[in-house]
Amino acid sequence: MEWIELLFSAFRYTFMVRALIVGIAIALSSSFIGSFLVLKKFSMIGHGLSHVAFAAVAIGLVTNTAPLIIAMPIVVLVAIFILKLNENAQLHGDAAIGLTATFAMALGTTLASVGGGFKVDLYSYLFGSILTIQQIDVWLSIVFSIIISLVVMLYYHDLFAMTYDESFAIVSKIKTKRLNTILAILTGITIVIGIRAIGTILISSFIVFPTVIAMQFSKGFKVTILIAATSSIVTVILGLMVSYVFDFPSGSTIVLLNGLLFIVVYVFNRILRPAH
Amino acid sequence: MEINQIAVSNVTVKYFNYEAVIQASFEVKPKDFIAIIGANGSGKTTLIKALLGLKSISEGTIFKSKDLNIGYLPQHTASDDRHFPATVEEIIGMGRLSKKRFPKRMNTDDYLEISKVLEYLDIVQLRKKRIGTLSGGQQQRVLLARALVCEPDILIMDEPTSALDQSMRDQFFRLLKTLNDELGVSIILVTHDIATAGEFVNRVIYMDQRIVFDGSFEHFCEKKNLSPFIHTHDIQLTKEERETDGVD
Ligand SMILES: Nc1ncnc2c1ncn2[C@@H]1O[C@H](COP(=O)(O)OP(=O)(O)OP(=O)(O)O)[C@@H](O)[C@H]1O
Ligand SMILES: [Mg+2]
Repeated sequence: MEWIELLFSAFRYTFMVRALIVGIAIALSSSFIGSFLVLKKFSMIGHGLSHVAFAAVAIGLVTNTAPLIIAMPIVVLVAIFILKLNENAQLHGDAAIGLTATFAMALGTTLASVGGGFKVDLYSYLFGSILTIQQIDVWLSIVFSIIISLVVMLYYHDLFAMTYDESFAIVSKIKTKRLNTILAILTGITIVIGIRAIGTILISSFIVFPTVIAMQFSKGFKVTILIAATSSIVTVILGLMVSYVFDFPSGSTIVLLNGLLFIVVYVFNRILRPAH
Repeated sequence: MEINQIAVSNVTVKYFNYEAVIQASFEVKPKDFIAIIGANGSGKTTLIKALLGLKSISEGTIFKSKDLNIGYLPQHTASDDRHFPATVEEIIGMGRLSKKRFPKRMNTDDYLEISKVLEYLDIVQLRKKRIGTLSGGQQQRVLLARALVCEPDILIMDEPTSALDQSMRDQFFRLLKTLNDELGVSIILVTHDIATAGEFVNRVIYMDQRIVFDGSFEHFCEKKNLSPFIHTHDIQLTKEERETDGVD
């Protein structure tokens, strides 16, 4: 069983252990949040926000502020902004996100060309790099994943009702506006925490893939969320191991594994249960 | 004197400048069974939304008696996504939330109530099924179950029977009638099928932005000149046709 030893040898290094902790924390938060976003058909907000995070990081680099410190409030504010645009029906969700994402991307690249010197740094935020994970990232991701898990557990039924049928939730005296705002804020936080390790380009897949994979099992809501979280954590651990052994970029490896898992589950489903 | 469950007075509802509902006034008393009818775009859905607090009103007042428990049945399953991962039990459970406080938890009482309502609507066998795998009529029953499980004082429904075939419609209306008679649940429903609904309701509200008519179905049928949209003569005809069809 040498290859198993080889895979686990990855975690002999501090930076790999950090990556593992941050990875699991992000996997947990993003799959929880993603379940509600995907089923509300609002998952592209993750995509939009990750582009905004890219611009925010560029601003941080230009102004010489810690990129994540500046990205956090900006991304959270934009998350609320996109939500409000959508709520007031002035703009459809996808259009609002399309606008924000491309605007942010343009801003980011323009800043990069002005700033010149930090292009390499900015590039590392595009695809992420587990080598850059600091102690502070570890703590941030642990704290926020606990907060996000708590919110999801405490508001589970309200979130479920709102996701399935917003009008019914309102009639049931559920404060959907407040809940939507909380969801948007948590999405923003999850994205920002994820970009160091996974990168702005790939982080939104952490929101979408786990739920889409879990939905293939065609179960109830609670079971689907649990499957999503499990599959997300497993692919992060496996992905980190594989990327270490083969010297692949870790973010991409994890996303590829998710893609692979989706195909396997999808095909498996069609063959084993052709009825539904 | 009976206390009104709901009293709507001089309510105007606008979309930007367009007045979808103008100066509407009516009361709902306990055990009322009201059909709201009218042409497409006459403001029925808008009025319902205002009643439910889903749309703000620009003029007038809507009074609801304190602690009025409203069961709401939308036209379709809100999520038309056939792959939505939710079981019938989970969806009906949603109906219990209005009575709960933070942090909301499902307890044995809730599951008992769910069981009761499943039995009452004869859909026990659907309990663990995923909502998307059910037929339109079965989904409608699940939504009715969700509306009933909070033990409502009043049911408010927007075109609940539009997805049902004629025999299911009759069955559905008979079920509502039983709820109305036996449990004393008052009912407001928007429908285009006054021919079927007419024999069950005790009041008809006919809308054309304003409330044009509010009275019994019999009285409504006599008012032949009410609107070019509703020909009461046709209603009688279709009803007879249906009955002869049934014999054949
Ligand atoms: N969101 C909206 N924005 C602008 N106008 C609207 C909106 N919803 C409805 N309206 C307008 O308000 C009027 C009333 O609409 P409403 O949906 O209440 O009609 P309805 O009686 O329910 O019709 P139907 O029988 O077709 O369901 C219509 O003229 C419609 O165009
Ligand atoms: Mg309508």
